[in-house]
Amino acid sequence: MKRKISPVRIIVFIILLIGAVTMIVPFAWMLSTSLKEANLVYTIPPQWIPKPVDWKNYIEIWTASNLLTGIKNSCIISVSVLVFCTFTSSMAAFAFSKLSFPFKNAIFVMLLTTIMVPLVVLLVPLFVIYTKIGWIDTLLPMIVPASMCNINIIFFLRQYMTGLPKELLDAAKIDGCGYFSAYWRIYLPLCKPAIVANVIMLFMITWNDYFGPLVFTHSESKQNIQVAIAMLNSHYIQQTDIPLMMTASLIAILPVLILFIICQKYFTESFAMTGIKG
Amino acid sequence: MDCISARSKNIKGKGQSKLKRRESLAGLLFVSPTIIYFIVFFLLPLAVCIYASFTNWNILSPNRVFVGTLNYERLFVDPKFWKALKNTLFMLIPIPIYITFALLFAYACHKNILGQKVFRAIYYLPYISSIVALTLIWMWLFNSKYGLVNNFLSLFVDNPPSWLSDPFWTKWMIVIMISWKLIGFTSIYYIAALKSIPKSYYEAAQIDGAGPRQQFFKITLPLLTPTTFYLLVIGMIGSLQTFVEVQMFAPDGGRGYGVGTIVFYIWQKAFSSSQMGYACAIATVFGLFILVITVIQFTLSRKWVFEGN
Amino acid sequence: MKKKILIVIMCLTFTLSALGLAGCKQAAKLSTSDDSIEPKVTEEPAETTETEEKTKVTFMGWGTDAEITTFKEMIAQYETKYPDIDVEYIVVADNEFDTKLQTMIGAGQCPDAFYSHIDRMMKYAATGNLYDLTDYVENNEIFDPDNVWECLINLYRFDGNMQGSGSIYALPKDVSVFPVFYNVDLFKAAGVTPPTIDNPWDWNDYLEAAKKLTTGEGENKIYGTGAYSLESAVWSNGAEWVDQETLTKVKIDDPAFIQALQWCADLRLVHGVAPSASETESLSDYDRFKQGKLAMVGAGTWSLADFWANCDFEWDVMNWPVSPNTGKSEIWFGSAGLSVSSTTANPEAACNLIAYLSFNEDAQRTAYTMGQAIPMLKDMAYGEYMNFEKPPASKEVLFDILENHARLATQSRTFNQEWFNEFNSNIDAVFNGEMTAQQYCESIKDTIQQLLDDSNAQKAEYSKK
Repeated sequence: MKRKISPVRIIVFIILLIGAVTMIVPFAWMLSTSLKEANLVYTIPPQWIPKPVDWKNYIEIWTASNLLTGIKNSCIISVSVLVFCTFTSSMAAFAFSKLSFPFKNAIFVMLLTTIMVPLVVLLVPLFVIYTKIGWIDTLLPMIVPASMCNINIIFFLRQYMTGLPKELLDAAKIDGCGYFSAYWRIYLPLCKPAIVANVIMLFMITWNDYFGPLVFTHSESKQNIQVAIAMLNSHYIQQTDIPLMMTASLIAILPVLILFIICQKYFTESFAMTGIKG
Repeated sequence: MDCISARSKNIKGKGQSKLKRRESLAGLLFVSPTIIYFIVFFLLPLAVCIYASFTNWNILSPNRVFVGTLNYERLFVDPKFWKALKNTLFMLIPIPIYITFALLFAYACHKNILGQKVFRAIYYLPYISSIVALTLIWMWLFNSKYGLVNNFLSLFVDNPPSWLSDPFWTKWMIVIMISWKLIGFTSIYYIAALKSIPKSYYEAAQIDGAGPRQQFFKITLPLLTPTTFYLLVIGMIGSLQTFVEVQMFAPDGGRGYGVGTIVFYIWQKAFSSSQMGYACAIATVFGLFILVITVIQFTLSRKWVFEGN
Repeated sequence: MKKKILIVIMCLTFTLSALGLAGCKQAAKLSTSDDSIEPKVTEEPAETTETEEKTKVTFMGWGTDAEITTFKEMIAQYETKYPDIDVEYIVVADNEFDTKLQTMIGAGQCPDAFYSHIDRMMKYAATGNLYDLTDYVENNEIFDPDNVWECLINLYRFDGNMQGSGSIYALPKDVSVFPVFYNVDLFKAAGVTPPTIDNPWDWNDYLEAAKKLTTGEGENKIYGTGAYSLESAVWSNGAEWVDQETLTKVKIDDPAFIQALQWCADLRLVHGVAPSASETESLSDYDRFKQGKLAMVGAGTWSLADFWANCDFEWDVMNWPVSPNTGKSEIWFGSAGLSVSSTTANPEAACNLIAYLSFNEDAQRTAYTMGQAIPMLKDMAYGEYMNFEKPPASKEVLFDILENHARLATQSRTFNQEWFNEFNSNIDAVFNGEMTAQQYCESIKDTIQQLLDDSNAQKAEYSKK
């Protein structure tokens, strides 16, 4: 590809470079700190490459915390939510964009209100509901509601599907397809790029969820990874082991990071192909 | 394609009402999980919350007394509520910052700037990290003496700010953090929107003799307004509910309650002060406030959001 | 047509599965919750042998890894001793504990036994959530109340109005005193002789010592003292935040109060013997002490293990200096309690559990050898603990403080702590020299009074039956 080298381009490039440095520095710093001995944390000027490099945190972390169980539970939750939520949300998005049914707009606006009320006040009523149906101290409060819908994804996919031609549905009907198979066989495959992008976002949201697991589960065997990490930090505030905390944070970020790098292509390309128009 | 649409038009005339009924049924069935979610996991708890806002419920004792609108009256003379509201509005500052930067970044990527693939990967990094992990790093980065930020700043100024103890700077730190976190994510939407603008528009403009700058302001920006609108709506709802950052950086709300936001205040009232009834009243009023703002945004959107296509 | 049926089936399956799942789980839960309400019902009706009849007790707490490990071990021992009881131990991060406990109570799912923070015990007691332990303490098989400091038991009394008298609502899990820790090496180098129990320092001696101990510049700067405990200064000077009789009147404009506050601030402002606010923010006094860059710091006995592990110098403890105006020295002492829920189905099992965890000799021994706490049993404190080889050398100082100088903090005695938090939220203005103590106290008094009134009103409201 031929590129004009204009001064504007150079300036923009430099600005982006500075931006990129600020984006990556905190993570590099986290890595560096996690490899330090506790007392080397307080040195001025800060040491970028720790001397000596101390790997013990990466060993200690597995015994000092409940990280392994946390990862396991987070995986269970994330995978179930990904599978079900993608299905339900895309189905709802299909209905909102392509079908006409009573109260369509009212229902959509209602859904939008769910993200306007602060979760904290719904905590106790939700706890009562979960108690009544026996979900407390199980992974279900993290899995079931999230599996039933995600308003952001519905919103997003609705925009995307609006952009797909309605004629496809009519054609499908003529060919004897029902609505479900029109959705399943025609629209869903066409949404694949948008869905892949959403899968990553959804995974991120689910993986990073902290408040729900904190309140709705009790036993160590049900903690998710974020709760396990927060436990490390909460011990009497004065006695914080900064390198250990950084190690834990890094490990918590890692799975999303890996998934993200693998799916990078889809993530950026799919959004480009969706042609979202807000 | 033409042939298909012709056939479909043909069929539309007949048996419309029956088809419509089927379609309604299918539509309702498709959104039924969503509706069940809405009723069971939102409406039901919300009803409890609204009912509780008229009582003196404290969570701890089962007996709640109906107190009428007392909680609502109290709210208007509660100085801390107003302080919290001010702090909450402060959290709107990141929105224009990250939207502007995201747009610039997206535009540069769209114009195939050198290394855009690497840049993209790096810019998305903050968004995918968990808030718990991020706040831990930030607390450490912004440590007034051993933190990287102040070590850097001290090259230029004598007394870099005490980010974690001075509420003014704590708020700015949160603003920086939110902006920093959302630039990459927001740019995804713009990159996508930019790609969806047909090349023919630009070609036509070029024929009319419009320069790159004119093209940007006359074509690109207007065509991006639907995306900007979506980002504004979602961004405002999110910003107004800033909570975790405050809880982590200023667990007591900061000096003179200079950092505490409304949602943080609600949480404090509900669980530290055992005034669940009052907390529910604040939440109800605040939920309505967000609703009104969103409705206003939708109304105003007719004036500036481009609805061509 | 087939397709349409398929749609219907898919949708129904999904929506019903959510509900169905709920239903099944509900059935499952019902059977388990029956267990907790009626302990005699066995979990599995098929096996109705007596050994299977286990009573389930849930216990919720927070703690460091070490504490959690100790507790797990103690619980296992308890289960061996009482084989028909099965304890479920829930651990929550300490800063989220209260949120979680209240949510559980709000939903009618209070754990049988749980940690009770000293500041919040009254809130739970007044709302009727705590089981009255008075009778149990008098007649129990696990510990002898006479062997425990009376002040510790009294800590958790509440008579419906005041903390400190009335029925007992919690047992002390531990006690922590808050002495001055000092760096013996720095003391020797500066030629400062530490005070003794019989011959205490007054504020002026403390300041003189701090001046001698403050040396160096820049990275090598060593400060004489950390932030001085404001509670100790105020109380020792005969002043109070709030009048002690009724807890209704804010008294922070008392000259003795203002003098004490100003004295604390002047350590930093006038004499430069304590780190400034921004220095404290970057490295707490506590961490500075651990690095050997601070000679005297107030810290709790819960830090002993940390000091053992991370201080490469010799250190010891001393009493807080007396005020030159009154000749007395006062400081608070802290404790976390263990309470039993008033709604528990098994009060006896739950009470035995908390008593076992609180006063078990082995538990006490483990706690002090691991540096988590000091013993609460008098015979152990004055017996084997005195011969324990780890620092501090002057262990008798800890018990002197506990017996003669320690009291329950005023803020722990009021129904909520909002007034106290408000007082502290702006106190840096004094410590930074932006305001004098007098200006500050006068400016904030009305606000504090208002919050205290609110706190008392709340207490009155909640205590209503």
